Amino acid sequence: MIVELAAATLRVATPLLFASMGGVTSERAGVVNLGLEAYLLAGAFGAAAGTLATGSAVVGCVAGVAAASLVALVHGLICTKTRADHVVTGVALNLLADAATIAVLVSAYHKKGATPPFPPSTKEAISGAAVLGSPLTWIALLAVPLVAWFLARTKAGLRLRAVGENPECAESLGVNAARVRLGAVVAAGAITGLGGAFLALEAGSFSKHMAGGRGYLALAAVVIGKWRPGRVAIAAVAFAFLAALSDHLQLQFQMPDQVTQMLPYVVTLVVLSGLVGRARPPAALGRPLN
Amino acid sequence: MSGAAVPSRPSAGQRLLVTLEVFAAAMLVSAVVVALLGHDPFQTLAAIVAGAFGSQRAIDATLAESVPLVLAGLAVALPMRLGMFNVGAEGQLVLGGLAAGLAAAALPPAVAIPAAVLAAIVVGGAWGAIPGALRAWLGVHEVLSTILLNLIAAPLAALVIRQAWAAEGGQIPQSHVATATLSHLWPALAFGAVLALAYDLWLLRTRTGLAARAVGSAPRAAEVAGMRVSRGIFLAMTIAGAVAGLAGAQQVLDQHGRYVEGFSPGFGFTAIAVALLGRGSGLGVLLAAVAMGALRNGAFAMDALGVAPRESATIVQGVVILVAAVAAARDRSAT
Repeated sequence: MIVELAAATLRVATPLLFASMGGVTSERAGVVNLGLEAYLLAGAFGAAAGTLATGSAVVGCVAGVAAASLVALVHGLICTKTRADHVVTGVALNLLADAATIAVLVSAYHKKGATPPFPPSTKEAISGAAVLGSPLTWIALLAVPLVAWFLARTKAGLRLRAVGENPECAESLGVNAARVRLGAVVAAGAITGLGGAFLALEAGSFSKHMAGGRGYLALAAVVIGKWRPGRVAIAAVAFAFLAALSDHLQLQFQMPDQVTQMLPYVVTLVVLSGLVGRARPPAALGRPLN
Repeated sequence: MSGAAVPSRPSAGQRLLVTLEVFAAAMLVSAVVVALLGHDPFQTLAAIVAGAFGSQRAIDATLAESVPLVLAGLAVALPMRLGMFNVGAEGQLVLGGLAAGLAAAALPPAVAIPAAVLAAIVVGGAWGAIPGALRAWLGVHEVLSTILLNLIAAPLAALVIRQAWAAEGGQIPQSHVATATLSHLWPALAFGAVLALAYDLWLLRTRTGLAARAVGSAPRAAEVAGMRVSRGIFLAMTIAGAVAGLAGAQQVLDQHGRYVEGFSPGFGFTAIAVALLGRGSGLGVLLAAVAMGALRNGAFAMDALGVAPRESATIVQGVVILVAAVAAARDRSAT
């Protein structure tokens, strides 16, 4: 049972890890990223479309990353080229992505709820690759130290953090703040896109509203983890564990579905309320560039 | 977020011009998006306009779509004036509608409607009070908390209605039929219009309205000047929740005669577009609500005709929010 719970936790944690690492990348550069939900949707849809078109899950992954990066590019351009509020644009983008994926679903596949499922051979290939959990899960786990290392130990990471704390100061030292921010947002899109791809590959198709609030949970994890990759990852895995646990308990104790659905969000809210006074975000978070 | 999307200097005429500009730009961008998705933008637009205003029935349906948007739009606009972003209107209106539906079904006809309205105000208000309190006294950003509360509200409502569900041979969980319903749209429409104009009057002509605007433009200055910012934030969110709850009640009592699961096709999110398009004024919200109601209604008709999927309306909505956000930012830098 412990093994099952652990496996379930890792499975649920994968998209959350990707999305929260994407969130960290973007937010440390100063861009509030409420668009994670949109990136997840784009990643999932792109992956499903790519896999259905070619039969290859790998192509699907690449397509998912590309789609999510594209969405992130649009988001990033709006946030860096205009002084529009990051929060409002993120929410708008989520609404757009949700509607657009459904619209394309209807136009391209003539189905209202989900794409057609992947061909059986592809599905076999996917589960065949999942020797000790999907390879994407391992990549997600690796992403955490990678992002941490990037931020703390590379020049690019330093520039990113500088822009997030004080863009004017960074500019005076020759850093192009707008470009760094844009790069950070697109990177966030790419990373999160992998999480979206995982969702689609795991389910064997894309269904509407597939992101299911994971983007917001990931953002909450970023806040709870105080914008530090390691702590954020712990928060993300904790959420995943909670979700897996409540699924398990629901089966054991015959609780109604809705309780399990609510639980992660309620706990997140409680934790956020207890914490926030002491959290210090990047100083220029949300501040538009001149 | 301080400042949010509300300008305070330009004249009414200038504001109207910018709103039209936003609308036009949004239409343009949406046309591109629609075309990219493989549909003819002109046909789409024609279908939407016909669906929204083409006949008396269409106009009635458009107005019916607009009424909840006026109320929900105000529920987003009021906190926006204080610098907050109420993304939780959807959850507030669903739970308000649920309370109204249950109350109206359980009580005798004479008191059903007032009781339902009261229930909606209380429950919606509570759902707004939670993020309000969290923001006012614990510093939790209302965007995250309201989004989480939206995500909690849906399963919560589902849980409650299933306990009270009278399976009147239906697949969809719903309450008993209300013992009294609103038979016409006009009372609710009039109420919405009056509320919107009263809101404008309050904002521009009363001391508390001025205080609210001060909190939105310069919270720290307001604090120093002695205004009780925390209390204002809390009150604004609570009132917003109550008004959103009323929107839910209106739908339940007016449109369906009972609470039906899933009765809201995202009014709370369209309300965000309404509030931004309406640039924070009551009159603006009123007009924007009609515009968005027309869009939604037109989109249903268009979907039924097979011209383009109804999600095109939501896409336009999203584009409107984006364009409005950029325009608002431009105003902010100018003043």
